[in-house]
Amino acid sequence: MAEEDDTAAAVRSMIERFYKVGGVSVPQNLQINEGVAAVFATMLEEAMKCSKAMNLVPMPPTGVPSLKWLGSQARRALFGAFIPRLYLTCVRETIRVWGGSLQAASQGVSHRHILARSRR
Amino acid sequence: MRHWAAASLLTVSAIAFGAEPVTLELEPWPAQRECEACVVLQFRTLEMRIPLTEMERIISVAKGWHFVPPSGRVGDSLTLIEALPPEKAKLRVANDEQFFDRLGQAPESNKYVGIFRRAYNIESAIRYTKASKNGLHVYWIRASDRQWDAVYFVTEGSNTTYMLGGPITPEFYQALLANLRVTKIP
Repeated sequence: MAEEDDTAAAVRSMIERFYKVGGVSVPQNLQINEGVAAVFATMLEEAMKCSKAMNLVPMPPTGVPSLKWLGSQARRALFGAFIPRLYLTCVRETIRVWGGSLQAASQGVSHRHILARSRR
Repeated sequence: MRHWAAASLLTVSAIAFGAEPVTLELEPWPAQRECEACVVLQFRTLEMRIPLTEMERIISVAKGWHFVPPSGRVGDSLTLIEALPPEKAKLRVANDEQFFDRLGQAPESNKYVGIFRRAYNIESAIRYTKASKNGLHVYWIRASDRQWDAVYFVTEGSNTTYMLGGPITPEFYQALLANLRVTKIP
Protein backbone atom coordinates (compact mmCIF):
# COMPACT_ATOMS: atom_id res chain seq x y z
CA MET A 1 0.00 0.00 0.00
CA ALA A 2 2.88 2.30 0.90
CA GLU A 3 4.39 1.62 -2.52
CA GLU A 4 1.07 2.57 -4.20
CA ASP A 5 0.97 5.82 -2.25
CA ASP A 6 4.53 6.61 -3.24
CA THR A 7 3.73 5.88 -6.85
CA ALA A 8 0.67 8.12 -6.81
CA ALA A 9 2.69 10.88 -5.14
CA ALA A 10 5.42 10.55 -7.77
CA VAL A 11 2.87 10.79 -10.58
CA ARG A 12 1.18 13.77 -8.95
CA SER A 13 4.54 15.51 -8.76
CA MET A 14 5.09 14.72 -12.44
CA ILE A 15 1.72 16.23 -13.36
CA GLU A 16 2.41 19.31 -11.24
CA ARG A 17 5.74 19.89 -12.98
CA PHE A 18 4.12 19.49 -16.38
CA TYR A 19 1.34 21.96 -15.58
CA LYS A 20 3.88 24.39 -14.15
CA VAL A 21 5.68 24.43 -17.50
CA GLY A 22 2.33 25.36 -19.08
CA GLY A 23 1.84 28.15 -16.55
CA VAL A 24 -1.43 26.76 -15.22
CA SER A 25 -2.32 25.16 -11.93
CA VAL A 26 -3.24 21.50 -11.54
CA PRO A 27 -7.01 20.96 -11.12
CA GLN A 28 -8.06 20.87 -7.51
CA ASN A 29 -8.97 17.53 -5.94
CA LEU A 30 -7.22 15.53 -8.66
CA GLN A 31 -7.31 11.87 -7.61
CA ILE A 32 -4.43 9.88 -9.04
CA ASN A 33 -5.57 6.55 -10.50
CA GLU A 34 -4.94 4.30 -13.51
CA GLY A 35 -7.22 6.42 -15.71
CA VAL A 36 -5.33 9.59 -14.83
CA ALA A 37 -2.04 7.81 -15.57
CA ALA A 38 -3.33 6.81 -19.01
CA VAL A 39 -4.49 10.33 -19.87
CA PHE A 40 -1.34 11.95 -18.54
CA ALA A 41 0.89 9.54 -20.48
CA THR A 42 -1.00 10.61 -23.61
CA MET A 43 -0.41 14.26 -22.71
CA LEU A 44 3.31 13.61 -22.25
CA GLU A 45 3.50 11.83 -25.58
CA GLU A 46 1.66 14.64 -27.40
CA ALA A 47 3.81 17.33 -25.80
CA MET A 48 6.99 15.41 -26.65
CA LYS A 49 5.97 15.03 -30.30
CA CYS A 50 5.10 18.70 -30.52
CA SER A 51 8.37 19.75 -28.84
CA LYS A 52 10.52 17.44 -30.96
CA ALA A 53 11.64 15.81 -27.74
CA MET A 54 10.65 12.24 -28.49
CA ASN A 55 12.35 9.27 -26.83
CA LEU A 56 13.35 11.18 -23.72
CA VAL A 57 10.55 9.34 -21.95
CA PRO A 58 10.07 6.22 -24.08
CA MET A 59 6.49 4.96 -24.05
CA PRO A 60 5.65 1.27 -23.60
CA PRO A 61 5.46 -0.39 -27.03
CA THR A 62 1.84 -1.50 -26.62
CA GLY A 63 -1.20 -0.68 -24.54
CA VAL A 64 -1.85 2.15 -22.13
CA PRO A 65 0.96 3.09 -19.71
CA SER A 66 0.09 2.05 -16.16
CA LEU A 67 0.32 4.08 -13.00
CA LYS A 68 3.23 1.90 -11.87
CA TRP A 69 5.13 2.47 -15.10
CA LEU A 70 4.53 6.22 -14.99
CA GLY A 71 5.65 6.33 -11.35
CA SER A 72 8.89 4.55 -12.29
CA GLN A 73 9.52 7.17 -14.98
CA ALA A 74 8.88 9.96 -12.50
CA ARG A 75 11.73 8.68 -10.34
CA ARG A 76 14.23 8.61 -13.21
CA ALA A 77 16.60 11.52 -13.56
CA LEU A 78 15.78 11.58 -17.26
CA PHE A 79 12.35 13.03 -16.52
CA GLY A 80 13.93 15.99 -14.77
CA ALA A 81 16.08 16.61 -17.83
CA PHE A 82 13.15 16.15 -20.18
CA ILE A 83 10.77 18.68 -18.65
CA PRO A 84 12.80 21.80 -19.59
CA ARG A 85 12.95 20.54 -23.19
CA LEU A 86 9.19 20.96 -23.64
CA TYR A 87 7.92 24.05 -25.42
CA LEU A 88 5.57 26.23 -23.38
CA THR A 89 3.13 26.41 -26.29
CA CYS A 90 3.11 22.64 -26.76
CA VAL A 91 2.37 22.03 -23.09
CA ARG A 92 -0.38 24.66 -23.00
CA GLU A 93 -1.99 23.18 -26.09
CA THR A 94 -1.84 19.66 -24.67
CA ILE A 95 -3.39 20.79 -21.39
CA ARG A 96 -6.22 22.54 -23.26
CA VAL A 97 -6.97 19.42 -25.29
CA TRP A 98 -6.66 16.82 -22.54
CA GLY A 99 -7.18 18.70 -19.27
CA GLY A 100 -10.90 17.91 -19.13
CA SER A 101 -10.26 14.23 -19.78
CA LEU A 102 -7.70 14.21 -16.97
CA GLN A 103 -10.31 15.59 -14.59
CA ALA A 104 -12.96 13.14 -15.80
CA ALA A 105 -10.51 10.24 -15.38
CA SER A 106 -9.83 11.44 -11.85
CA GLN A 107 -13.54 10.85 -11.20
CA GLY A 108 -13.44 7.39 -12.75
CA VAL A 109 -14.55 8.19 -16.32
CA SER A 110 -12.13 7.33 -19.10
CA HIS A 111 -12.44 9.14 -22.40
CA ARG A 112 -13.19 6.81 -25.28
CA HIS A 113 -10.06 8.01 -27.12
CA ILE A 114 -7.96 6.61 -24.28
CA LEU A 115 -9.94 3.37 -24.30
CA ALA A 116 -9.35 3.10 -28.05
CA ARG A 117 -5.58 3.45 -27.50
CA SER A 118 -5.65 0.53 -25.07
CA ARG A 119 -7.02 -1.72 -27.80
CA ARG A 120 -4.30 -0.84 -30.33
CA MET B 1 -1.92 34.34 -7.02
CA ARG B 2 -3.89 36.49 -4.61
CA HIS B 3 -6.65 36.84 -7.19
CA TRP B 4 -6.75 33.06 -7.60
CA ALA B 5 -6.86 32.49 -3.85
CA ALA B 6 -9.65 35.03 -3.42
CA ALA B 7 -11.67 33.45 -6.24
CA SER B 8 -11.22 29.99 -4.74
CA LEU B 9 -12.28 31.30 -1.34
CA LEU B 10 -15.39 32.84 -2.85
CA THR B 11 -16.24 29.56 -4.58
CA VAL B 12 -15.76 27.53 -1.42
CA SER B 13 -17.83 30.05 0.50
CA ALA B 14 -20.58 29.93 -2.11
CA ILE B 15 -20.75 26.15 -1.89
CA ALA B 16 -20.60 26.21 1.90
CA PHE B 17 -23.51 28.63 2.07
CA GLY B 18 -25.57 26.59 -0.35
CA ALA B 19 -25.41 28.89 -3.38
CA GLU B 20 -27.43 27.90 -6.41
CA PRO B 21 -25.54 25.73 -8.92
CA VAL B 22 -24.33 27.47 -12.07
CA THR B 23 -26.85 27.01 -14.88
CA LEU B 24 -26.82 27.95 -18.55
CA GLU B 25 -27.84 31.52 -19.36
CA LEU B 26 -28.83 32.56 -22.88
CA GLU B 27 -27.26 35.77 -24.09
CA PRO B 28 -27.77 37.79 -27.28
CA TRP B 29 -25.13 37.53 -29.99
CA PRO B 30 -23.03 40.72 -30.06
CA ALA B 31 -23.93 43.07 -32.92
CA GLN B 32 -21.78 42.89 -36.03
CA ARG B 33 -19.45 45.85 -36.32
CA GLU B 34 -17.02 47.24 -38.82
CA CYS B 35 -13.41 46.60 -38.01
CA GLU B 36 -10.80 48.12 -40.27
CA ALA B 37 -7.89 47.39 -37.98
CA CYS B 38 -8.68 43.70 -37.91
CA VAL B 39 -7.01 40.67 -39.38
CA VAL B 40 -9.19 37.98 -40.97
CA LEU B 41 -8.32 34.51 -39.75
CA GLN B 42 -9.74 31.12 -40.58
CA PHE B 43 -9.21 28.16 -38.25
CA ARG B 44 -10.65 25.13 -40.08
CA THR B 45 -14.26 26.26 -40.59
CA LEU B 46 -14.28 29.22 -38.18
CA GLU B 47 -13.75 32.61 -39.78
CA MET B 48 -12.99 35.47 -37.40
CA ARG B 49 -11.84 39.08 -37.51
CA ILE B 50 -9.61 39.89 -34.61
CA PRO B 51 -8.77 43.52 -33.78
CA LEU B 52 -5.03 44.12 -33.88
CA THR B 53 -5.40 45.85 -30.53
CA GLU B 54 -6.37 42.52 -28.96
CA MET B 55 -3.27 40.53 -29.87
CA GLU B 56 0.43 40.92 -30.36
CA ARG B 57 0.88 37.81 -32.55
CA ILE B 58 -0.37 34.31 -33.23
CA ILE B 59 1.83 31.28 -32.68
CA SER B 60 1.18 27.88 -34.22
CA VAL B 61 3.44 24.98 -33.27
CA ALA B 62 1.19 21.95 -33.63
CA LYS B 63 -2.55 21.70 -34.15
CA GLY B 64 -3.68 24.84 -32.35
CA TRP B 65 -3.21 28.59 -32.41
CA HIS B 66 -1.98 30.72 -29.54
CA PHE B 67 -3.26 34.29 -29.47
CA VAL B 68 -0.62 36.26 -27.62
CA PRO B 69 -2.09 39.34 -25.90
CA PRO B 70 -0.73 42.86 -26.42
CA SER B 71 1.49 42.40 -23.36
CA GLY B 72 3.47 39.85 -25.38
CA ARG B 73 3.30 37.31 -22.54
CA VAL B 74 2.90 33.85 -24.08
CA GLY B 75 1.91 32.55 -20.66
CA ASP B 76 -1.26 34.66 -20.89
CA SER B 77 -2.12 33.54 -24.42
CA LEU B 78 -5.45 32.11 -25.51
CA THR B 79 -5.26 28.74 -27.20
CA LEU B 80 -7.64 27.75 -30.00
CA ILE B 81 -7.89 24.02 -30.64
CA GLU B 82 -10.19 21.37 -32.02
CA ALA B 83 -11.71 19.92 -28.86
CA LEU B 84 -11.95 16.22 -28.19
CA PRO B 85 -15.43 15.00 -29.07
CA PRO B 86 -17.69 15.31 -26.02
CA GLU B 87 -18.83 12.07 -24.39
CA LYS B 88 -22.40 12.38 -25.70
CA ALA B 89 -23.38 8.76 -25.09
CA LYS B 90 -22.82 9.07 -21.36
CA LEU B 91 -25.30 11.95 -21.18
CA ARG B 92 -27.64 10.23 -23.65
CA VAL B 93 -27.71 13.16 -26.02
CA ALA B 94 -27.52 13.18 -29.80
CA ASN B 95 -25.23 16.08 -30.60
CA ASP B 96 -22.67 18.47 -29.16
CA GLU B 97 -25.20 21.28 -28.67
CA GLN B 98 -27.38 19.03 -26.53
CA PHE B 99 -24.28 17.95 -24.60
CA PHE B 100 -23.32 21.51 -23.64
CA ASP B 101 -26.95 22.43 -22.98
CA ARG B 102 -27.21 19.48 -20.62
CA LEU B 103 -24.12 20.57 -18.72
CA GLY B 104 -25.96 23.80 -18.02
CA GLN B 105 -28.54 21.98 -15.92
CA ALA B 106 -28.05 21.29 -12.27
CA PRO B 107 -26.77 17.75 -11.67
CA GLU B 108 -29.58 15.27 -11.16
CA SER B 109 -30.16 11.57 -11.72
CA ASN B 110 -27.46 11.12 -14.37
CA LYS B 111 -24.21 11.02 -12.38
CA TYR B 112 -22.20 11.90 -15.49
CA VAL B 113 -23.72 15.39 -15.63
CA GLY B 114 -22.00 16.20 -12.34
CA ILE B 115 -18.75 14.54 -13.41
CA PHE B 116 -18.55 16.49 -16.67
CA ARG B 117 -19.65 19.73 -15.02
CA ARG B 118 -16.59 19.37 -12.80
CA ALA B 119 -14.34 18.24 -15.67
CA TYR B 120 -15.35 21.29 -17.75
CA ASN B 121 -15.02 23.57 -14.67
CA ILE B 122 -18.69 24.56 -14.86
CA GLU B 123 -19.45 23.44 -11.32
CA SER B 124 -17.07 26.07 -9.94
CA ALA B 125 -17.63 28.69 -12.66
CA ILE B 126 -18.85 32.23 -12.13
CA ARG B 127 -21.16 32.03 -15.15
CA TYR B 128 -22.00 29.71 -18.04
CA THR B 129 -23.54 31.40 -21.09
CA LYS B 130 -24.69 30.52 -24.59
CA ALA B 131 -25.08 32.72 -27.66
CA SER B 132 -26.33 31.44 -31.03
CA LYS B 133 -26.36 32.72 -34.58
CA ASN B 134 -26.93 30.98 -37.93
CA GLY B 135 -26.40 27.48 -36.58
CA LEU B 136 -23.28 28.39 -34.58
CA HIS B 137 -23.57 28.02 -30.80
CA VAL B 138 -20.97 29.55 -28.53
CA TYR B 139 -20.68 28.44 -24.88
CA TRP B 140 -18.57 30.54 -22.53
CA ILE B 141 -17.45 29.05 -19.22
CA ARG B 142 -16.27 31.94 -17.07
CA ALA B 143 -14.14 30.13 -14.55
CA SER B 144 -13.52 31.34 -11.03
CA ASP B 145 -9.85 30.81 -11.81
CA ARG B 146 -9.56 32.73 -15.08
CA GLN B 147 -6.81 30.58 -16.53
CA TRP B 148 -9.55 27.96 -16.94
CA ASP B 149 -11.92 30.21 -18.91
CA ALA B 150 -13.12 28.37 -22.00
CA VAL B 151 -15.27 29.11 -25.02
CA TYR B 152 -16.67 26.19 -27.02
CA PHE B 153 -17.83 26.65 -30.62
CA VAL B 154 -20.47 24.15 -31.72
CA THR B 155 -21.74 24.04 -35.29
CA GLU B 156 -25.05 22.41 -36.17
CA GLY B 157 -24.61 19.46 -38.50
CA SER B 158 -20.92 19.10 -37.70
CA ASN B 159 -19.13 16.72 -35.38
CA THR B 160 -16.28 19.14 -34.84
CA THR B 161 -16.23 21.40 -31.81
CA TYR B 162 -13.56 24.03 -31.27
CA MET B 163 -12.34 25.41 -27.97
CA LEU B 164 -10.63 28.65 -27.01
CA GLY B 165 -8.99 28.39 -23.60
CA GLY B 166 -7.22 30.89 -21.36
CA PRO B 167 -8.00 34.17 -19.61
CA ILE B 168 -10.65 35.54 -21.99
CA THR B 169 -11.57 39.19 -21.49
CA PRO B 170 -15.13 40.36 -22.25
CA GLU B 171 -13.58 42.73 -24.84
CA PHE B 172 -11.92 39.86 -26.70
CA TYR B 173 -15.08 37.75 -26.52
CA GLN B 174 -17.27 40.58 -27.86
CA ALA B 175 -14.80 41.40 -30.63
CA LEU B 176 -14.50 37.74 -31.60
CA LEU B 177 -18.22 37.06 -31.83
CA ALA B 178 -19.05 40.34 -33.59
CA ASN B 179 -17.57 39.02 -36.83
CA LEU B 180 -17.51 35.27 -36.31
CA ARG B 181 -19.02 32.89 -38.84
CA VAL B 182 -18.76 29.37 -40.15
CA THR B 183 -17.36 29.00 -43.64
CA LYS B 184 -16.06 26.28 -45.94
CA ILE B 185 -12.47 25.18 -45.88
CA PRO B 186 -11.03 26.38 -49.21
